[in-house]
Amino acid sequence: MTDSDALVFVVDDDDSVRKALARLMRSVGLNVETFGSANEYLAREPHPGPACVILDVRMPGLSGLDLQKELAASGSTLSVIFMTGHGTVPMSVQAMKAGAMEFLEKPIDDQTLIDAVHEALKKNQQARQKKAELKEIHERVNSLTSREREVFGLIVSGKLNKQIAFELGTSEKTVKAQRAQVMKKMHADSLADLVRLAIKAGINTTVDQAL
Amino acid sequence: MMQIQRGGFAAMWLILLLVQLLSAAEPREKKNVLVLYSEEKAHPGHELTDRGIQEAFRSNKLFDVRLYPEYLDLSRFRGTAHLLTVADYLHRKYAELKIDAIIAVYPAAVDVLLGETQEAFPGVPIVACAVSRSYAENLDNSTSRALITGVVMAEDIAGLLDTALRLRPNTKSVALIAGTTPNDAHSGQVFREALNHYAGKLELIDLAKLPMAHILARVGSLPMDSIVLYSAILEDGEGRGFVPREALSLISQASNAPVFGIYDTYMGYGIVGGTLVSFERQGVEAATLALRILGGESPASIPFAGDQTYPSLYDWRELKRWNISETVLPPGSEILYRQMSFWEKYKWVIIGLVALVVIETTLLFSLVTNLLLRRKAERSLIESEELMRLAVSSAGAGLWSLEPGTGSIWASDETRALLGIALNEELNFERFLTLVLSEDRETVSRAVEQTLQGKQDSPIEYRVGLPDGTVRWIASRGRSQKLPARESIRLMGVSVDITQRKQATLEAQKHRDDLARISRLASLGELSAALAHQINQPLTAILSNAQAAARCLSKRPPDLDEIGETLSDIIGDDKRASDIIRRLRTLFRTGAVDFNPVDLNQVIREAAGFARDSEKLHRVSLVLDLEEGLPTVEGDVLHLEQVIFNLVTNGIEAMEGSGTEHGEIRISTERYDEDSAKVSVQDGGPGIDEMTQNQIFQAFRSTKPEGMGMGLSICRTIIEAHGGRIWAENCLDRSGARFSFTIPTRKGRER
Repeated sequence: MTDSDALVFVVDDDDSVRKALARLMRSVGLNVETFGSANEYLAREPHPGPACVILDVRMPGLSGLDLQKELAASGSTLSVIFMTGHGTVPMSVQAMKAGAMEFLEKPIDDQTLIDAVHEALKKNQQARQKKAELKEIHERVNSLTSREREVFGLIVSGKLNKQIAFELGTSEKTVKAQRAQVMKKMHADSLADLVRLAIKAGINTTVDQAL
Repeated sequence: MMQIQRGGFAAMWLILLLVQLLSAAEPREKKNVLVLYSEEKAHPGHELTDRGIQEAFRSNKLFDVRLYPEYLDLSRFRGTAHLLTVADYLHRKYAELKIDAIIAVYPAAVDVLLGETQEAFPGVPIVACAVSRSYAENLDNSTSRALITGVVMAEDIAGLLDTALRLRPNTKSVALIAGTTPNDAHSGQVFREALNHYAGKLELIDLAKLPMAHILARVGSLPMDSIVLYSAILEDGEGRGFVPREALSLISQASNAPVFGIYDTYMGYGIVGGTLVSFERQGVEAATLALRILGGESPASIPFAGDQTYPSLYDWRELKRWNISETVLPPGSEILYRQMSFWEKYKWVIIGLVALVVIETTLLFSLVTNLLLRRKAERSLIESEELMRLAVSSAGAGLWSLEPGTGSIWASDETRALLGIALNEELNFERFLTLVLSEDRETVSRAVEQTLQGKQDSPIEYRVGLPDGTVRWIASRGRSQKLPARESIRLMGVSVDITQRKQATLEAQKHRDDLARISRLASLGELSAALAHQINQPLTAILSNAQAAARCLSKRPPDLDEIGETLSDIIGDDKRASDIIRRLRTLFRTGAVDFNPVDLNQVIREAAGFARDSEKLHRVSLVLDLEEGLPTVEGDVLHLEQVIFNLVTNGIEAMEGSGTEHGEIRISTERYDEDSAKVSVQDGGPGIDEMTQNQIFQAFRSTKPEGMGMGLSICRTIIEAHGGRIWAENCLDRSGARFSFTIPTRKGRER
């Protein structure tokens, strides 16, 4: 189930812990890279394949939570698994709100961690796919002319050709041609397909305007 | 020696007694002596002569002499009829009495005896007394000599004149005064003869036989450089009778020239003085001759006596009157009637009186002063006693004294109230000890003993059980005092109720302990969190390694090298974990300060380790700047770690509070002086304002909203327990505060 290019990052200031976790990851056939501090990790090039990061909350310098914030800010889809010696409730709430996958208490059971890592990698994979799909949709939207985008918006809000022509001040025939052009450029087979793409692209699909 | 002397005295007394007995045993022979005086009884010369005669007979040891004095009054009654009457009277009177000797005074009496009364006393030896030398010479050659001897009155007129001229060298004339009776005439003749030798040198003014009025008039107007020679006046030219010396007195007062006379009876009646004939001596001499005759000697064999030397006497008043210096008087002269001045007379009385007055005054003054001083002293004593009483009672102190010999105790009312005993209860040391709690009895007994020996002066504190079951703390202080009267020692002292103070002290101690425990627990909370994190690390590593190894084993074939490496990692991490647990155990140990040789740098490294694990430190970097070769100090590792940890935490909080979250905390060590090392913790916070600086080490002083203010207080307590010092200051070169403390080195501590 795991891609060969999947990679697990371990960031902990304790050498032994780092070493042990890396060993554990390797024992289940995962690629692993370790870092002694958050800054060390940030200095690394982003990994193109699926990845996740196991972070110690308390570290000298930039803490695990700080690093999580940094990653989020840079738009990373990386899944974060937190480890802590003695985690507090507010700390775990903060981490989870910021999108952490897991908040594990040290010492960590291997299966829990491995499951979490797999889950994280899977989530990362999905996020990466979703991100790629969205990118494709946006490219398609971008290939539309401005009039076609206007028509696209009116179509997904449920308006008829005649209504659109009236609204845009053109003929129904022109609208019909432009509608076919939108369907083509958006690779949509049906109106429903087009609406799904519009939602994904974040285009307003409400029908209130028609009423 | 004393015995012998006493014995000697006793013997002498016995001998004296014996002599007296013997002399008394031999009765003196009785003799009758008739004394015939020429003049009346009041005649001054006779008085003196009589005295001399009586004295001489009285002192003789041989005869018991009975005197029969007869005064013939021949000057006043000069007729033959009187002479015959006298002769007849004597004849008849002494017809039946055997007279053994007769003393006849003056030639007149001798003449009567040898003439008219010749038959009355046939064969009775006669002693002529106070007769002139010429008269004596006549007797010596007469037939009567067989029965008569006598005493010549050696009137040295020439000598008197020489003396007068010696005193008055310029004398040119001499007034001679004499009376009219035969005696007067006789004596006047003697003077006249003497004056003949000075014929040509001295002019004679003859005032003899003149009426007294004439005489007085004449002597009042004598020429310059005159003297008066007075022989005697029994009767003046008018037939008026005089006592010679009284006549002299009148003349001397009227005279304008000094008066000289020859008889000692005149002394004091107006003569200047000179070598004077003594009538008393005449009497003594006459009696002596009479005794010789009574003793059996024949009068004829006894020559006329009269070579006596007479005393040289002067009247001080006359010397003054005539302005005669005492220095010109012949040697051996005696001055009579010296009139001393008031001062001379009463010198010693005055001196005595003045001295008495001075002494009395001094005495009085000193008595009054003494009295005043005493009153003052009494007053101040009363005042000081009042003050003392006031002070003692307002301090709630009780006084007491203990007599160690008898053990009896005097205690003031306050003391009794302190001990909870009745005012009238008899108190002694035994009874007192029963009041003291048994744990404190030995302390009290020992303190009393030591105070008596002068070894203890500090107060002792002990407890007494009160009747209501409560316990009272008392502080007592005593001092031994020597009583000179009884030569014994007494213990005096003061006792005060210190129960409240004691309770307050105990409560304060408890509070401090509680606070220390609370703060310790608070800092332990943080420390233990750090430790929990630390111990989780090896545990995490161990678990992960073990599980990784288990997974490795399930592989075919298992990577044994990897497994071996994993196991050795597990062993290392396990050791690390047990180290942390050991440290954790000591951390919760609550014992007292445990001093051991300590490497200060090592302590700081460990504490810094904790601090790094503290979740607070993740934004702050900890920099250690430790001096190598720092001397070993004496201290408790755990406590010192806590101090470092507290100071670092404090610095972090200060920096967080001021927003400088990514600063640096620097811990440095250095040698402070010969006996101590210094540790400084410097933060990058806002520093300390002056107001806080003084109070920063006090408990409950906190500038942080959630701080209890115990951290720095604990630090100070610990450092001071180590004999060190802790202080806070602001960094000069940059912002931030620096906390420093010193810890004595082992050598310094020994010193």
